[in-house]
Amino acid sequence: MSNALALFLDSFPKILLPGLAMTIPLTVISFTIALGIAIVVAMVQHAKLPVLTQLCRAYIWIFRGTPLLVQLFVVFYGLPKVGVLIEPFPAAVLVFSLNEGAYSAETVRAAMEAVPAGQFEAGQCVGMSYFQIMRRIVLPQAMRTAFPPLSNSLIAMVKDTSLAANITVTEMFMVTQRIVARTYEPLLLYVEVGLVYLLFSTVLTFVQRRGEKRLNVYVKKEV
Amino acid sequence: MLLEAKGVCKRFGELEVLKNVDLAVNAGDAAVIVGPSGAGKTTFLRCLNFLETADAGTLSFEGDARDMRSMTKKEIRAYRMHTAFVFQGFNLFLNKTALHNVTEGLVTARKMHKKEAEARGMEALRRVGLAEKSGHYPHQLSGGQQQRVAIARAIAAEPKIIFFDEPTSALDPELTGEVLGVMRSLAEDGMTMLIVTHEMEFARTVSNKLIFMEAGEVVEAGDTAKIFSNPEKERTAAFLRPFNK
Ligand SMILES: Nc1ncnc2c1ncn2[C@@H]1O[C@H](COP(=O)(O)OP(=O)(O)OP(=O)(O)O)[C@@H](O)[C@H]1O
Ligand SMILES: [Mg+2]
Repeated sequence: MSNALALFLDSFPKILLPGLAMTIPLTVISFTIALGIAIVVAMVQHAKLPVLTQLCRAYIWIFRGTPLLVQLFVVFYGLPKVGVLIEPFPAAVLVFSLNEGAYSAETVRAAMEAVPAGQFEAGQCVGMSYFQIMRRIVLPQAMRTAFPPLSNSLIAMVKDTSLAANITVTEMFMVTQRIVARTYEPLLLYVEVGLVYLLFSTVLTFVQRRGEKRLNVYVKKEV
Repeated sequence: MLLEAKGVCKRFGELEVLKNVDLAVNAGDAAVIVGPSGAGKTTFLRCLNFLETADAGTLSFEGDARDMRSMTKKEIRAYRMHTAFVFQGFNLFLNKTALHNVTEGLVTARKMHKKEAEARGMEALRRVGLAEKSGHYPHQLSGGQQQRVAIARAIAAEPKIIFFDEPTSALDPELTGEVLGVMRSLAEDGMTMLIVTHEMEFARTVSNKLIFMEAGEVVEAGDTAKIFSNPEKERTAAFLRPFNK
């Protein structure tokens, strides 16, 4: 038992470190890019721009309709066949951003459609341009609506980054697998890495609550 | 003539909502549009501010006549810099405080400095009696207060004309008075207003020009007192009779 505890304590920093150095940067960078993609794609559809709207629909269709793992394999193992070589980390960022961007685009679009048309018209009537109304009136309101589902996606992404182990990104899960191979303690170590993911998710859930409170200043309290 | 619309037509699918509607508003007029529900009053007002695109019609603003269908986005924005619109449902920006509702258009569309805009915003809020609510969000205000903020937002831009679409219809009866009071005082100050309303007592006492619309057409238009006391058309007389005691 003391052996187990010693192994647990000994491996904890070894698992946490790649968590802080890889899992979190991978998540933060990918999610930030995904949000950018989501807002642009949602706005294109909201504005009903011809051709571009169809392109956005196709993008969402493909990235929501195929497994994340398959996307990772296509980019990392498949693309070199046609001469496109991408390092593991950037490949993971690319796939995670595109995949999450497709999902979040739908979240943001739905939230934009939930903003009453009168908000846009009021902006028009005070002489604001389309982009001014979007940036200052519609998007802030839509992002508040989209905040809880987007937070969900962020937490899901933290966990999904474990898939990056499959394309040789040395994130937490891969490091854990290596320790297991050395120590033959799969139960202890996989539970341990699970706990670290739980820790990350818990922190994010806490941040989400705080964020929602701040964003809710202009929203009527539900009774 | 400040604003003159001629031959405005609009249909929604099969439904002809506006049939050759004409209108003339002079600077300083308080003009009201009255008529039964479904007459096309809201649609007409929305066409005049290009929230709807008319199918036909010319609009001359300060003598500059334009085909309403061929106005570019840029021309429409330029025109809107001189007009304001007060909605039946207020449409205050939900994510902005009362003061920032008023300053938003000044800062973004008119590129005014924030300080100057806020000074002007406070002035406008004072005008509608809501200076002390400047930091409140719309959901923290009563309907009557929200509509007064909307009026402050309208006047802050110093428009040449304000369009009102039934500004008190969404309000509880006890709150209509405060909004009508503000509008009455704007009229006394010579603000040019075009008001769609069902408040006949307000129309009779405040407006100098009355337009009676029915089924997409102007039945009668002219001096308010004259139309109330001596309408030319039988339809107008029938509509006004309940209010003419
Ligand atoms: N966007 C729209 N699409 C289809 N029909 C519409 C639309 N807007 C208005 N209409 C129809 O046009 C007609 C005129 O509507 P409008 O709202 O202009 O009447 P109104 O005179 O303002 O009536 P009220 O006094 O009830 O406000 C109505 O029959 C209405 O159903
Ligand atoms: Mg109406």
